[in-house]
Amino acid sequence: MAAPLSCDYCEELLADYLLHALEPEAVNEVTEHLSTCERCRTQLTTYEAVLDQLAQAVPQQEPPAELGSRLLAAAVEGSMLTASVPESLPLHRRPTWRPRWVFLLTAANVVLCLGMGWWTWHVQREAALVHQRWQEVQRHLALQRQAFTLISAPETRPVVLRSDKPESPAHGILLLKPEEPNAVLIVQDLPPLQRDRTYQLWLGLGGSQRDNGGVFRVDEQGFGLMRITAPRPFTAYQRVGITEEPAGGSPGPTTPRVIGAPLQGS
Amino acid sequence: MDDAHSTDASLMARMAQRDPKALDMFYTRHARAVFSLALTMLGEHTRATDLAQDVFLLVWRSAGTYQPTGSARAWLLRLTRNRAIDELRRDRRRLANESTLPEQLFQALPAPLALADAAERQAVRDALAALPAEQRDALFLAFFQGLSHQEIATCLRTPLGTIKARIRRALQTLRQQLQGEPGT
Repeated sequence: MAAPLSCDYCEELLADYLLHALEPEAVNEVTEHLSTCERCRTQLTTYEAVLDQLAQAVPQQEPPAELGSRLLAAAVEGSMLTASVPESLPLHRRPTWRPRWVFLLTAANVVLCLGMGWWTWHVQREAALVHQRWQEVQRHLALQRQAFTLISAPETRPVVLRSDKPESPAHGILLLKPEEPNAVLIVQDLPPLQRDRTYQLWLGLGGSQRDNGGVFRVDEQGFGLMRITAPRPFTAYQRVGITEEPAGGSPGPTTPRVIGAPLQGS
Repeated sequence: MDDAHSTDASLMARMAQRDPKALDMFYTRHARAVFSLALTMLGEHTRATDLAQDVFLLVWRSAGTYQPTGSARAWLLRLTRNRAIDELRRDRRRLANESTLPEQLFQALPAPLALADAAERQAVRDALAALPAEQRDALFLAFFQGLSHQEIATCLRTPLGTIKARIRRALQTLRQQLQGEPGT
């Protein structure tokens, strides 16, 4: 049997204990120690409070409007099933009218056949959707792999893009190798757009000249990721900016920039 | 007492008696926090919605066993985090191989950048911002992504002992900053 934990050692393990990062054996040892040690229990409570604050400090987002009604429907349905199933199955019910029983059986068969047809169609449709989703995930992973390769490269330079409005949370990071035309753009907290709108990246040369860096959209959380192949190496550009444009992009920016950054020195 | 002024404990007691109005009130009070944490951890709107529903349904079903020993909100968020970690770990087991770990790490890191944008969370934001970046990253990966210390060590190519020390120091510092531990 293992020796009981000392308080010092227990306190060392408390953070891991709360983060569920301990092996089961160590969890048991800490739990046992906590059951008898007031001092370590107090320590645990203080760490717990910190983690609780961390959990409450995430950016707040409204849940979908239908979630509340969905939840209530599921809860009530669950309760009715639990409460009413025994009542709805009388112990001594017998069929009293045979022709009706036969009719019901036939109707059930028809419903079953229709159901099988619908189910087959549904499964095929689901399979197509899963395949489409899988392809999207693969594309996304390839993009992330490229971003990670760029992050790990010693010559990569990160450029932080910010809004001109201090209160705007929109921001982004452009990962580029100055001597090359390839880069990866990651944006966060950009407002999601209607279907007929898109974001467009502009790569500014001298004066009002600029190259099109590509168009992209963001997800519901305002997160977007785009691979860029610029017409020239990034040393040629002096600034970058992102604007909102009609779907497909514009020959030049038509709205004020959402976020941007200077590139001098790259 | 009307619903708006009911305590969480009394709502839980009413839920144990299968009162849907109590669930509705409890949901209205805490849905935003639960959904936001789920979304931060899972990163997908649909999954976060499903997880939030699961959490509230679990509360509804097990309300009778609830022991009021602190803030119900904190308890609810711990429940949310545990369920999200279960999902994330299931995902990782499914995708477990060397090449996917760095991608998950990369995916995980943007979340902290957007953390704590509301004014009332200023203290947490300040305390987090004051942490050394390597401590903050390790803590986020452990807390919000449910990565084990060994997984974090592999991803960051850093010795396991260093990762453990970083997380411990990060939590100790946060505790000092947020709770004004004596001697600090």
